[in-house]
Amino acid sequence: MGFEKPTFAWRAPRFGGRLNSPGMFTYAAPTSIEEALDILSEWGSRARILAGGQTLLLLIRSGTLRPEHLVDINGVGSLDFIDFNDTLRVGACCRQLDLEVFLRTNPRNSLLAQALPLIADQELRNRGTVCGSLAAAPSGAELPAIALTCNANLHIRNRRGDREICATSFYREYGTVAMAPDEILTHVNFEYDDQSGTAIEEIRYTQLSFPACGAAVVVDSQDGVCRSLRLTIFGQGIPAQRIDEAVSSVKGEKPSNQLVDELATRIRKEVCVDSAPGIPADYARHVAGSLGARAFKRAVAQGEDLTTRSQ
Amino acid sequence: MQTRAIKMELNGKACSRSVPVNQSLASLLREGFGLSTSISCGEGNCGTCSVLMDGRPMRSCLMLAVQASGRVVTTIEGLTDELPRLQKAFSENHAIQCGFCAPGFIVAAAALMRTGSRPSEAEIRETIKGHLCRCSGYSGIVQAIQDAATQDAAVPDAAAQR
Repeated sequence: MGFEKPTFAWRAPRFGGRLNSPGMFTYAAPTSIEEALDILSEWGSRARILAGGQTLLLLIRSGTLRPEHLVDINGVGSLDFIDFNDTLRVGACCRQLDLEVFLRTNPRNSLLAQALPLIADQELRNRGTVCGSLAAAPSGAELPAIALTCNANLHIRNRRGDREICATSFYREYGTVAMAPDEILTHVNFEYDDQSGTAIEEIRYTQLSFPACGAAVVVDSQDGVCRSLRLTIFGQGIPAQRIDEAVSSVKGEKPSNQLVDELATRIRKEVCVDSAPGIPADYARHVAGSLGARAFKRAVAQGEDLTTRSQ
Repeated sequence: MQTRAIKMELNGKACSRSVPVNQSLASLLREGFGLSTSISCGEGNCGTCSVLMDGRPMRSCLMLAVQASGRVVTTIEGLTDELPRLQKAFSENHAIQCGFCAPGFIVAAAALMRTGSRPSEAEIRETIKGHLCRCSGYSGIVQAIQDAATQDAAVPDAAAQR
């Protein structure tokens, strides 16, 4: 009787491979959504969907997640699409770089177009998917914040049927998402924002790290008066959140320096921060206010620019 | 351990192999095929393990070997067109010291050169921002890529003049 030789396949032994390797999982590559859903309902929370893997494989690698089964949906051809009729629809297997390139030639959502180049680097965007980032929602990721700001609609499917959920209901407190283990995020709908002023601001410690703090803004103004404003704060240790009370003070007002300062103070009061390593909560709160105000200012300027150009 | 048979085109040659499903592509390339793709952080932060998959640069440490099935994978060894120019430029600009990060940088540079553009310094820095070099510094590397890409772009011009 012998013991099975431990597999160090996940990491070369000389780089500190561990006996109790976290990467002990089985693997399935379904070719249709129905097949994937069957596997998911069979394995439940023990299975995870693998699309780009730039978040999931990292979590497995670090031992944070220990799934028993990976369901690779890259073989499901019907999930890799970008479609634009009345809204911009992005499928589950669409890579972030593909959408970025698409938006360069078809400006459909300027906030998304500004945010995508900020994500990690080209190589990670070449593999990472838009929906993967939305569903995994790692702390500090830009895309969940963009979905919240744009009121994106997420289409989720399980064996019993389809449902559509707005990002504001999908992202719950403490960075959790309203999705069961047997469900797949099949695609996401972004509204066009051609007429709105948009801006994203963020601060990060290294080029490749998640932003310590960031703010995304969509503002609609008419005759110099701010009609509607949606503002999201996100970052490491800051669950992506819409700031709704603070922005209500800005609606119906003409943007001035005083108003911007007031907005910053109100954001600092309203934002809910956790502490993350190297980012004290007080600092995060202060920076959230400043970035929110800066993004608002820039979005207003961009909105005015759009109106003058269209006249 | 579950294994799967995969077939892929690696550096221009078709090859098939049975791999454990939890093996990373980086590990397969280095330990299975003995290629010089380096593995350092294993978390996508350092860029040493970058390879071209279907012509697009990606981190092979954040990909399963089974996912390479049916794909075209190119490591630094397979860059037959770009490698001589890049090697010369890296050597002339002192862009290599220990050489551990070089496979990643060269793959990223080759992908940039294949776009056929004359990249600016900002574009080169954007391309290599996910790659870490801990000894030679980045100025030499940026200069080397610029030199190699400019030579590259010079070739069609010369052909047009003839």
